[in-house]
Amino acid sequence: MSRLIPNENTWVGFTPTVASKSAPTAANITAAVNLTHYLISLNASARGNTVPTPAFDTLFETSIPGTVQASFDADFYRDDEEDLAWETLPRSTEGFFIVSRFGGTGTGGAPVATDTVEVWPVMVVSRTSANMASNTVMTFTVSCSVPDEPAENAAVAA
Amino acid sequence: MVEKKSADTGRETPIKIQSKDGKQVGTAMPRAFERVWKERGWTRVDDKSSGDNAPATTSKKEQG
Repeated sequence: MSRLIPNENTWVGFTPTVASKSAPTAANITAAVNLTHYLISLNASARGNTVPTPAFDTLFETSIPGTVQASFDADFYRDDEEDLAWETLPRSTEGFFIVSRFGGTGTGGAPVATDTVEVWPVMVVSRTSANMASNTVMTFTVSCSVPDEPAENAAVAA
Repeated sequence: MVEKKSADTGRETPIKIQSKDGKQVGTAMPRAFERVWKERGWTRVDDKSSGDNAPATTSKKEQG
């Protein structure tokens, strides 16, 4: 494997449900909506917090592990023929984004059994159209809460 | 004057849907169901059942 860009590699889908977050089935992925064609950028990241634990007996400020949080935001294109991303992700939608960063081994880069994917449980908090400007393609941004811990190394089950 | 919240916000209430093979059950917003999921073989389960099987939580299979 070499260094790579997401174009023609990454596959991203959305499904209302998965059999198991840590092991979504191939059927889950088949039933998902493929949003790769509409995707411009994706920010799916987890962030850990540290808790400072300074003490009087040292100048070195120690810390211990704290909570972990995650955020999920994505930018998509609008489309006047098939506005699939916009229609799939209205505000308050709950479901799972399935992200195959390096692409799956199935048709069109879709993940199949034994492929590794990320499964992000989300609820759409906002679906916001980007500002319109002359000679600029129309896009929108989806911001999501992450109500459950994401599975960042899930293997697709048969 | 007090108005219903739904009238104020225009928010839809999610509905329960199931996949073509009936093995997957989740929720979707009604308009998204009509325009996206219905075309892909998903069917509506119960209009009044939204919220009791929210997909953004751990599934029953996983809990088991």
